[in-house]
Amino acid sequence: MGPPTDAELLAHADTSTTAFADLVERHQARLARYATRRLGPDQAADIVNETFAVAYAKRDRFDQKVADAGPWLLGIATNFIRRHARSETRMLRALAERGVDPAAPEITPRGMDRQVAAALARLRRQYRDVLFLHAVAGLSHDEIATALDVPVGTARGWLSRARTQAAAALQQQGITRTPSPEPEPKASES
Amino acid sequence: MIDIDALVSDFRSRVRDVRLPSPAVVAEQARAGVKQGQHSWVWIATGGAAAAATVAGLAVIFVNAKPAPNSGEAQPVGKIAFGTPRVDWGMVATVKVVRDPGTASTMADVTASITSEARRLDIPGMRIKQTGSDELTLSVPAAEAINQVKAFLTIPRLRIVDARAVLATGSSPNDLIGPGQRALRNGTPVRYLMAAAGRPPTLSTRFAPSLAAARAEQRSWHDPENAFVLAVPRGVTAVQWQTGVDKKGVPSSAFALVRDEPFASGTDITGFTVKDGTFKVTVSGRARKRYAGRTEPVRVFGLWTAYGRQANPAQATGLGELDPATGVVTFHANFGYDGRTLNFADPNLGARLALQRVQRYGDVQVLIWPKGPAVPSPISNGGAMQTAEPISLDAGGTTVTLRVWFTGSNAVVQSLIDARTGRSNSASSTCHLGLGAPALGPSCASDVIGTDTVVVGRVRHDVARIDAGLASGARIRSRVANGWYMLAWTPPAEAPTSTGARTLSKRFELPTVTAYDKDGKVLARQTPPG
Repeated sequence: MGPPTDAELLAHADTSTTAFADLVERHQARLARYATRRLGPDQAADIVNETFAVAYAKRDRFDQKVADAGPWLLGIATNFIRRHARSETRMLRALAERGVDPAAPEITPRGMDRQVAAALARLRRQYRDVLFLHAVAGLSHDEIATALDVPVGTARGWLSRARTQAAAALQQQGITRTPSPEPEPKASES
Repeated sequence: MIDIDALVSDFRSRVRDVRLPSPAVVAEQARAGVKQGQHSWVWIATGGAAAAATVAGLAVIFVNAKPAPNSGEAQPVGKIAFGTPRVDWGMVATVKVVRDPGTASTMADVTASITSEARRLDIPGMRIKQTGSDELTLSVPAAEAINQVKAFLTIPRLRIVDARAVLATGSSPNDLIGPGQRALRNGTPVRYLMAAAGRPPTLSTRFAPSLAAARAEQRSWHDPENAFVLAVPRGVTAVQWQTGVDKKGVPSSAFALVRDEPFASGTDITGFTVKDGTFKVTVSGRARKRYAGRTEPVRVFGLWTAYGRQANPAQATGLGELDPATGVVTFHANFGYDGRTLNFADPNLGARLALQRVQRYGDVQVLIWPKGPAVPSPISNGGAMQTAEPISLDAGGTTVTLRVWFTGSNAVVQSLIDARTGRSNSASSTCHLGLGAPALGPSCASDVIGTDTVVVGRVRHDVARIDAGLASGARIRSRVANGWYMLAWTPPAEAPTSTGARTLSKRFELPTVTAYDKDGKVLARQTPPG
């Protein structure tokens, strides 16, 4: 017998003292990484907490036939991130124009961060959502559709257009190919 | 060819990982957010709700609302400081976070500070919600007046500084004037700090950029005559910590001016261990970076909790050595914390919280008061607008009556009237129940009627009766009505001293009071009428 599914953990969230905590443990890091990449670490903590609060409140609405709650949780987190859409755009523009990331001012941007920020800032909110859900959270088309509660075809189309528009924005900045990865900085620079 | 997925995947990949609470804590908060009155916090357009009637000019109100069970939209859930609120009314304060120049405080620092302060002041159920890049809304249960909220928003700073950074120490803020004046003579740029004379001494943690600004703040203090302006060299901050409690129960404090070196906030501290008289504090990479190349020991100002009782939040814990490779600060001295819990949750704020506006929520039930005959206010305060049904109690061979007038600012005027003589002892004060809403508030008016002592104060709305007694067994008469309590007792006779005088201590002996609800259940969190 394997470990309980997410659906089982949610079903026992009321009767078990550890079930919901186990669910949090499974998905917390992934949600935090996704939220941090979008809004920075300070707001990410709040978004993660709020996501689990909503998940607990709406646990009865989770489809018991679905084993993995990851896309559902990422969808809730995306709803919260949308509340900060204008702030996210402002931060991306600041990073692109000034080279200082308001989401993480202590970090010196490297590589293509400034150019990518400029491209992301120009995307529609839905396109940013699907790009991050796919590239950072690792969701498939089907899972993105589940997370955003849209048809799979819509998710597929959004992701395609997001890539196209982002590539065009980068080309306008003179970027025509993905550069080789930079070597990791030495420990003393961290 | 441009690989967008790879570029987005690499985007912000060096940003530090967010420090998350343990899954158990997150789960507990999630449950609390739902079970707490089965509501979520939502913004709605004002519709003439009674709760908003006293505040004009606001476009939105914060209300308790039951969630829409099948709503597909995620409802905003405020960050809950801790626990479940004792009352379903209070204030929502909109606060602007004004960061100090040169500090790197974050919203996470600020909310952690507020949470810590809410615990220290025992305000369960407080919620924090970020509503802008530098704006928070705080729902503060049982806050009845703006001043209560303002007081709550003053949060001490805690710092880690290097050992050479302690520039001055003293037993009162006055001791800090000398170093400040010397700095002035040396031409060091200064900023200004408000400090209060008297005991227990306090420091304002707000720095003013100019003398004029400091003077303006001084005028706004509740007791400006006992406040003075302290010149502090720029780049220096002040810390205060409790050193003990004297025989009268008054806390004594020590102060230090410390160099405003780069510091690690509480949220930068990622862990600590205590073993065999040595404790180790681990700081994050961000804090470690600030100490890169430094060899001197570090000083930690932290908050500690002993046996569940919160001590002063600015407790100096001593010097330690930082290993820049691991970020571990090791303290070899025995600090006497064996068996106690060290708690570094209270971060350095590095900012001040400017109250923008407040809005009531819920019905402040304790202020619902049966209207009585109109009686002019005994104090000309220009605002008393409501009379109320009085409460009476026998004391000193007569009947003592409590009348209360409410004013627009929510202050109250109390008047204890001796029925036999008609003498009135009136006082204008803000007799609030207190943040956190204990079952019993401290007494806010007292009088001596004949040989009896009479005290009055507020009770929570669910208090149906109280029992009161003195250690000596003296009988205490009590009355609870309209959200107020009234006690009267005859202090026990006391033998004359050798000089023939009688001490007054027995007269002011505080009774022990127990509050019960209508079902006879003892209510928790009771404050004696001190």
